[in-house]
Amino acid sequence: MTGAALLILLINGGALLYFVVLNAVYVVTTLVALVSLRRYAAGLKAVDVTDVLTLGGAPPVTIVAPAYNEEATCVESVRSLLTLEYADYEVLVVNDGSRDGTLARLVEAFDLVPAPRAPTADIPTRPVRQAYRSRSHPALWVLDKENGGKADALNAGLDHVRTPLFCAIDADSLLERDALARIVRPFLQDDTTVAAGGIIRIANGCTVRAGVVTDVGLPASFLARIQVVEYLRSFLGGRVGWDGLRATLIISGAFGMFKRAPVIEAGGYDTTTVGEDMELVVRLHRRCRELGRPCRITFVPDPVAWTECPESLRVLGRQRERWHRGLAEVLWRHRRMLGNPRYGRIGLVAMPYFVFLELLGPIVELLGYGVFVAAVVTGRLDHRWAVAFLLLAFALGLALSLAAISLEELTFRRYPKLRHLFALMGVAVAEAVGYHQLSAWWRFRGLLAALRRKHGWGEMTRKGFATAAPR
Amino acid sequence: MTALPLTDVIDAASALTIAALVAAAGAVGLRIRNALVARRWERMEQRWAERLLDVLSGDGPPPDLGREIAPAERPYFIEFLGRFVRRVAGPERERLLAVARPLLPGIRPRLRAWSAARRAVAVDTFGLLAPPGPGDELVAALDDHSPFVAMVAARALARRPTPDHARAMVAHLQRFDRWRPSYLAAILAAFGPEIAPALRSRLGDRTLSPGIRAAAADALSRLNDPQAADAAAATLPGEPDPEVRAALVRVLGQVGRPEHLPLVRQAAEAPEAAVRLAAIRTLGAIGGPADVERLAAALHDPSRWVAEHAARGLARAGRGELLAPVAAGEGTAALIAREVLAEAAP
Repeated sequence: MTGAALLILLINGGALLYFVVLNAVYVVTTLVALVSLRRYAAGLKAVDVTDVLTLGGAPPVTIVAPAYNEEATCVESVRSLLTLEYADYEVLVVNDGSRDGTLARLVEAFDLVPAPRAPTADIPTRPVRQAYRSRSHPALWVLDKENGGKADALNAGLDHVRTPLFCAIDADSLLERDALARIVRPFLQDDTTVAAGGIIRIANGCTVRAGVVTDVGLPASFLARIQVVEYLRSFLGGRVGWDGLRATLIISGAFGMFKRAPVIEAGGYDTTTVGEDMELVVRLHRRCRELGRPCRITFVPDPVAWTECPESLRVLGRQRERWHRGLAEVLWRHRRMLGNPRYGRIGLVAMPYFVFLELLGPIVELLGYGVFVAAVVTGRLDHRWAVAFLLLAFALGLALSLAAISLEELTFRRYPKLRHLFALMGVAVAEAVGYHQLSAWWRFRGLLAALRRKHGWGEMTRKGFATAAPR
Repeated sequence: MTALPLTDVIDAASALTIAALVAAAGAVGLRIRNALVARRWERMEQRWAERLLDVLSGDGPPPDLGREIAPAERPYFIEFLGRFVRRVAGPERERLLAVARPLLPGIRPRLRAWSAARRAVAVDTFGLLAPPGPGDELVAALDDHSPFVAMVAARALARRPTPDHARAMVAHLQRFDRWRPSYLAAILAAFGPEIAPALRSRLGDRTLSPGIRAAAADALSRLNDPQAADAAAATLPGEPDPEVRAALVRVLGQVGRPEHLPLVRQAAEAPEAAVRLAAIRTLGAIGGPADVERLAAALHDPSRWVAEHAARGLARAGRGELLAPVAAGEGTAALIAREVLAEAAP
């Protein structure tokens, strides 16, 4: 056997091993998710979610919404935040030195006036220029600060949180009215809960009236539809599954609730990574283990935040690149936890999965594609075998996507029309060809960017929500 | 790689394709089933709603309706009835409970279901529809090995409080050790004044965790139980746990009498910020002119929360002039003073 042949064999073997292990993990998490979701959905029938509102005892919450150049959606989003069903909450928008009219639009829409607000913590941030309070909605505050990035904006908000819990969201997220009442439940039932994440759903294609999603629909754009399936797979298959294994490592920055005190003690969000949401969760796990404190970090599948997703390849590519860059930075920072029994199943299961399968996945995948093609072209790989393997990969990806759609159908059924279901299935078929490979490329670029240490908010072109015509 | 037999790869791909097709068919099947169930529900609900409205207005004979429901439809009817029961009270509720009575034996076996979620649903339904009685199934469910079922049982008992239920709840307090104390306090308070004597007796019970005792104290505060003040005052001096001490001070703040103020003032000097916070908050709310100086000193407390409540107390006492010089300065105390003064401004 020549050296080249041996190399091809090794790479192909590595790619095959990666493929088998990765998909085995996906299958396991999907099966765990199936059991967890069924149990959760059945249990929901015994719980009156609004009970925490009438009974009292639910702690006050501050919603911290960092905003940067969000003039297209900020008013609608804040309006939605002000109509939530929760007994005692405050909304704190942090304008991170936006260069557009975000602050002006908020001032005008909500009758904001300058008002003193004393900080409650002293996590270092870029200077806060002015705090504003709404005269029409006293529970709404806006902090205007110099630009420092998303994590810095979150820290500025955190420095002004006066409640035992805070909810970190993206300024363009639309929370469902009962989202706070639902996401707070783990904190009530288990006082060791320090963080809980909710589900993110795609708002493109939905009708939004007064900041509330009134009609759920699918986006017209094919790229956005692909993301609907991706999000279902990621949240209902992945996050629920990992939570079932008690190894939640990611809480989306778009919607997560935290206990204020442990986050402040941990120093708030890390401003040196673009994966500040994941970094905080990993750091909380790490600190709890190192300090010997019981701590629960969980995912709750029914509180919903709707968000606008990118509809152009360019913006989506940049977003995915940033996410992967963040993943790389977080895993590198906490590499000490990898395989370390001191950190329990986070160190022994979740970290190895994220490092070897998620982080390094794109390298293996792209290398695998390249060598696979080379091997077929040079005749080192039987064409029939190659076609069979591609079919295998396609069928597996399809099965996982369809399983996620089935989980949605089994539990929350947010897409009401039968044509939505068929459209999602069609997207699942198409996604495995082309999009998956493109995604691997974006993630690979993210990995390279992490090596070059690039930072920034990342740009997201907002169209604004599809608002219903007034009746 | 080519070492893998082609037939194995083809077999695996075929199996996965079949799995994908099964998932797709499952999703479509579920959608069709759900649509049919929804349609069936709608028809049944239309049929029942009218009869139930007759029952609610007192025109219909309550007990018969429950018996008329076909056995296959009873689970749906019970869920339907439950929704109505949650919304009404008084005689209307009694009429609905009378409708439910013949159906209760059908729910009982589900209280022993294998699935915790099913047991929880059965407990919740029982709590809504069954008449309260000593030794009933809900009290037994407090001992369920699933914390979720025990939680649903506690909530169900709190919806229909009786002295027996209150005693049972207090006897099971240790079961709820992991709950957030404020939530436990709210559930306990929902039992009403019946629960107060048992809670008072547990304030000093150090076999219970501090969180539970703090919740018991906070429940007494919520209930405005006047006798809790003496129980708290008796427990406070020897209590080592700061969480419990803070809760006891809150009791004194809520239902205490002037003779309890020295204990609160003493707590304002505690080394633990949580205890000082409760004390300063209390003094800010019910303290007299003698406490103004203490509040003014607390403006510079190392805990900004204590300082904030001191400032609010001074503003409430109409002593804003003491805040003005602090507000003119620098640092956290100044910012707090400015904020409180701005809020107090007309």
